[in-house]
Amino acid sequence: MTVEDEIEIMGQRMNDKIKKIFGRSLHIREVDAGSCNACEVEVNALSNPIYDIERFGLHIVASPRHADMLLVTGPVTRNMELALLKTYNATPSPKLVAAMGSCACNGGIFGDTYASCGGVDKILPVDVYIPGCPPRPQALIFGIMVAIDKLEQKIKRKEALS
Amino acid sequence: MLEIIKKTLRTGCQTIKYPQVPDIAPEGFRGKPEFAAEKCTYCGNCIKVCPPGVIWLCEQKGEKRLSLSCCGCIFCGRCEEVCTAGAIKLTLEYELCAKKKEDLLSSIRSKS
Amino acid sequence: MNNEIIEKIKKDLHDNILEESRSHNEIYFTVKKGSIVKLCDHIYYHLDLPLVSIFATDERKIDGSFKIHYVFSMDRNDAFIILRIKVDSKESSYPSITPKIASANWYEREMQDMFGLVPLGHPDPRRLMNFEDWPEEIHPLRKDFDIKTKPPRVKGEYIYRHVDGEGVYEIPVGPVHAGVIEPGHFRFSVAGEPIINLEIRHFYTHKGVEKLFENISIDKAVFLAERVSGDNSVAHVVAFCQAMEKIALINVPLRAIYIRTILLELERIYNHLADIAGIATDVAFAFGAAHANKLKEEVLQLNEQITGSRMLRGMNAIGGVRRDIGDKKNMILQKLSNIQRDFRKLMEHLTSTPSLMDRIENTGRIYNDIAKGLHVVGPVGRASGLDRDTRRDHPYAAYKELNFKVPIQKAGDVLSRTIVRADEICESVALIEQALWALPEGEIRVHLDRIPDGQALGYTEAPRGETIYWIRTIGNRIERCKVRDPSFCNWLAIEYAVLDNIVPDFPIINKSLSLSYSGNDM
Repeated sequence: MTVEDEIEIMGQRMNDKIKKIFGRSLHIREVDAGSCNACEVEVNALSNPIYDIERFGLHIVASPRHADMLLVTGPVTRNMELALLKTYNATPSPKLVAAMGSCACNGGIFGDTYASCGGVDKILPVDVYIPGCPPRPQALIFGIMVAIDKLEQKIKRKEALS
Repeated sequence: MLEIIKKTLRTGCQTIKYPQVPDIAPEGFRGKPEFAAEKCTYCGNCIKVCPPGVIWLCEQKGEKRLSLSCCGCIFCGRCEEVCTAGAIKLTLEYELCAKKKEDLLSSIRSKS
Repeated sequence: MNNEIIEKIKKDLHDNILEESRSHNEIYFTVKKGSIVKLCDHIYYHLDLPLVSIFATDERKIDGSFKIHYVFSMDRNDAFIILRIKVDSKESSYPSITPKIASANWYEREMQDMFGLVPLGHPDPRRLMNFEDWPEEIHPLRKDFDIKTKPPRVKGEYIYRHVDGEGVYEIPVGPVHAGVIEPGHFRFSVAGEPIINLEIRHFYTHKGVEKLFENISIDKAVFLAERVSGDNSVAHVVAFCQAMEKIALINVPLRAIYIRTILLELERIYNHLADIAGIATDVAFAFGAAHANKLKEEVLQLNEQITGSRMLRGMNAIGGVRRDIGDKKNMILQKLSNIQRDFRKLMEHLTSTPSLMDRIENTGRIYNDIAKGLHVVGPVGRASGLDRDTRRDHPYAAYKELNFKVPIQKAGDVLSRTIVRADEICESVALIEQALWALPEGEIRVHLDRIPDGQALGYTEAPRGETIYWIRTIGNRIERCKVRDPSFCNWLAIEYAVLDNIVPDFPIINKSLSLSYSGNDM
């Protein structure tokens, strides 16, 4: 099955899926690893009355220790590398890492320089990529849904192993 | 207090129905760039102007392959602007999330 | 430009001037290195001209020296005076002006890290951008430093200021914060609840933007300028384009100038709304926060409808704008009038809520002398009684043709800053309406193939305040691009604003100053 098919099916069963998957609430910790702050504007927009992601049980939490998913923005600057790793290590497993925005995906316009690592996946294993500069809040909601799908797979795999 | 309640009631529910109901981006939105394979002349103008450098061309056994990765794309629309053949267009597509980087890659090829 | 004043300044500087040149509204004086402290002191205190930027250039290839530029703004005459000193590459040191002019602090430390130029007599010569794990000899903005170099990590220690005393303890916060904000480190020294000292440490998001400008072509650099500080995209890109247009000596079509003005004001509206929403959130006034956020979202959606980008990106180009928005005039006018009506009502609600007013009145005071001494810019400065606004003092875009007031408050607390922002939103709506009605017909862009060699300043009044670009081009490439974001000035003020306030009020003060980490760290 290609990604297109996957997205297609997802679109058709949007309603079911939300009920099924979002039944379990997901806690998100946003980590800015050197973004230009446009991504932060959009993450903040998610909790406004228009998008209101709390209605799905999605919460933006204050500590990585409470989080199921890290939403990382920015190309990961040299100065933030260590802080990002510490945040990742503080997040309990199973955890997800979503790279939000084009710089988080592969460095974007900031690229790979003396001060920037050029993407989150150079430092951490990334589960989902959400491109956009910055992604619209709708694109972000979609990205989080794809991430939840992956979390399900991850948990299943873990159960199968144990 | 009464004023606040009145204002709240008057404002009503503002939350959009996405994702249950699809939300179409407004006209003029710069979303996923798409190639029109039949129009492309493989001139390489888009490669030269792309600020994050996410468009590239490979040549193998006479076959040209033009690839674009949405991964680092900043959706500036410069490629569309310089393409004289009109072979690249930014669509309204914004649901671009992928689990693998390769899934964000789109490419066209030609036999010349 | 008023020649009398220039002649007077020349007379004041007399035999210290080695060279003089003029371009546009910028007057460059090359002066003797040894006299720089005296001259800056004279210009700053006696002529009362604010110091708006300091930056260095690496000209070792030309004459074996670095040059340091001190930019003073002549607000009343729409001109800039730039003093330039030559620092021999063998010496690599120069007298610090920070003991005399406090706002020079970070600029000199920045040059120490980026160019290896040592300010002699600087009261706080710690590293700023290069963290303790950067090797000693790394100076990224020197021309012989390759942008792709990955410096090794070395062992080092950063020493914080320490407050001792009975019952004094420290609260370290960051770089990863509880809210959805950018990274930065704050170290509070508190005795009970009141803050007795705050030390900020930034530059976690240092992405090497200035070096990157030198390494990409000019048409790509436009998009980089948009991404220096995300929510001030338009202000940055317009400042960048204006500097380039000055160098290229081109006249931007009138219609493009008006469209730029509209975009700049739309950006101001959504930024100010976000700040007001943030303050309401931080005092836990959910009703106010929800409504302010809703209004902000409406502006962002309007942005998307007219430009295709919620952050108004991809609209500006050197020589004009890339898209016309004239056909959406009625839609913009209608939406804005709705937004303004709702906003006025919201402000009535906010100012009549005692729980909110109690938290923001007299909180986070920045007194006028502190604001002036640290060169606090933008709405924060205007709330402390500093009557400066680039739109009026150095008119750019279409501001010369439009009528607007510059709101001023005296108290310098969170409330004054909120009122200044609220007034500015109303002014911005009026400005957009005027610009739309006066929108001239014609072209929206002139195309340029090549940027000639030259140097120029570009400046805008971003929602956060005065944004300054200084660009030098050589051979159709950027030789040096100095970006001075308003936050670079305003961050210094937060250490004073929080004094004697309690820790729980810190988020409100921080929000009311509306500081960009990315624009500051670059």
